[in-house]
Amino acid sequence: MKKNVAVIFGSKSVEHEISIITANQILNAIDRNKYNVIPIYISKNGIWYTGSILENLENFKDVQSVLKKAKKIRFLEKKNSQLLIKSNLKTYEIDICLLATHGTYGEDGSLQGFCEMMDIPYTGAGVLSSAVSNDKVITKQLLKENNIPVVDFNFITKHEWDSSYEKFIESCENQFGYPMFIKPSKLGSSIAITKVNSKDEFINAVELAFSFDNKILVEKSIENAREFNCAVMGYKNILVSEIEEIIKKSQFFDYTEKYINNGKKFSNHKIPANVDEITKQEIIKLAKKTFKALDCYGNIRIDFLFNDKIYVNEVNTIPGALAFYLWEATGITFTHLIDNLINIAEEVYKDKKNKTYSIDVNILSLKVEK
Amino acid sequence: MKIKINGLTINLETHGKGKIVIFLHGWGGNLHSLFPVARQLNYKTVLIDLPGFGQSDLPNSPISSFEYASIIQKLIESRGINKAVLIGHSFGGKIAAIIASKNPEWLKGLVLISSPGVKLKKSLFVQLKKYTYKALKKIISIFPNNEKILEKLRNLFGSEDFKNSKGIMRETLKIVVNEDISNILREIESKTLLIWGKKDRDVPLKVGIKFNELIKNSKLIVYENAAHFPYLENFDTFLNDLNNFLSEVFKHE
Repeated sequence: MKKNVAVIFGSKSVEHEISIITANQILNAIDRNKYNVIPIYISKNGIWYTGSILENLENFKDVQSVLKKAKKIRFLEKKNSQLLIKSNLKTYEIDICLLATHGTYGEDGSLQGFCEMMDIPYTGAGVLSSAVSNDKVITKQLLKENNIPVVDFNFITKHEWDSSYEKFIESCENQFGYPMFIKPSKLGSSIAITKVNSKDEFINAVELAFSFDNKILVEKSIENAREFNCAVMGYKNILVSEIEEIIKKSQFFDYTEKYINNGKKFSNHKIPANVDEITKQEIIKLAKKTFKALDCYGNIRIDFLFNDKIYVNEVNTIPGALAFYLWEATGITFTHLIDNLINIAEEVYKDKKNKTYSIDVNILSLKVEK
Repeated sequence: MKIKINGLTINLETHGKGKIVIFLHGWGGNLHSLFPVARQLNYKTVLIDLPGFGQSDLPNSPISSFEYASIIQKLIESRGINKAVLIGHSFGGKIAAIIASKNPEWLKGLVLISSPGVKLKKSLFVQLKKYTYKALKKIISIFPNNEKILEKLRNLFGSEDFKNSKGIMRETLKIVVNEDISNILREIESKTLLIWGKKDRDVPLKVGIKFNELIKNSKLIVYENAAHFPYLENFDTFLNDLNNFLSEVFKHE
């Protein structure tokens, strides 16, 4: 029997469009001899849709027409270990959710939490590691606690900033000196990340970052650093992919460069990275340690910075394109990568089912001797 | 590294340190086919290009799986390996099973992934296909200059492997697909792990079940979502199962 796999994408996130691309790549790579595929698109205002019109990336050039032609999902229901999704005419029985969402309401633990509540297997990471990894400040604190090197940082909330920004700037200046990086704590894809060289730039960058998040991160700039990435996959094991280097063109790897530049994706990725064996082993060691420290399973991408020393810079629990290009370089095709994510999701679900979450005794009905 | 055995140059690679695990790839593959697995292990891994594949020499004439096995066994023994686990995928698994049936002293364990070697009763569809092919071949053979049409016919009816093979390797394939090693499997003494994908259409699970019946000391693990490449399709679980097997087998060494 073929399993029914829902590929869920879109959602309320600044990485909405990236998610559409990731989902499209998955829809092209998934083995349809093994799975029935049901695409599910969550619009920017959070409405769920399905239908074959969602399968073609071209259709998304006119989102309004997609929304008109797609079938709106009216009703979601849990039935045994399946999720029932109902449009006006049809009910879809979903066995497993393959999450292709990036950023908020998709990669941050919220959609994962929904799947947990609906008691359906979903591709990792889980709620906890998704939520933690989505917040750069919490991630850095946790990694630091595990002796995993991270770039020196400071952070501030909107309320604290409003009341004492002068003091904060001064302490950052003393701690790191210019240049520094200002980042919203919870966003991916380099959105609203600014490199600043003066107090004025600092203030502008912070104001920009606050329009995306209530907490911002300030980091010392590691000058002339090289950028390395690798993917890490597993549940029972921790498996590390080939390492890539990002060859930088503009001042830093920003949103435009990552996704828009001439429509040429990945032209600036060098796989495998030109790196000596000792550094390579160090990256692999830190990748495994990070995966474990963040309590991950599934398939994540870890970004590193390197100049003399290696720092873990960022963690993506649902990497763009599922980082399939890194696994391809490791000898695992995109199609097999998807198989693996589904298998891991099922293993995690099976183990969860074997744990006790409720006890048969109703504590409220117990008689208490007085 | 290149080594000459029976006049054939065989290419092999070794990685890592520790106890030895040897890998034999499937038909149409090469030593890289199993490298994703090898690179994740904490053992010394030996990856071999089988004759006719990768950078190893083509056999001088069409050969059987038994001749493959004897070449590979000779190669392993020429390296002075005294303790090793042999892992084979598909066609490589059949070769590994034949080597294991001779119970060489160095062999401490055997892992067979989706390996052929037991002939199943052909389904009606497959039989019909075979007879249609044979009938058409006879008709076309009557006409002159039929070689091009015959090749087209072969490609229409033949398997992917058949289509992709040429010359000596196509003749070799014809020999190896018709072998049945059922009797040989009974001879295997070493601990054996069998890994199969439930959705395998090249070597169906039925073959795996038969292998498990015939091999004395075997255990069969089936991956539900996997087809013919269970070690890549279910990578995490496979590595877990493999590592458990390897540590159990090497425990007493």
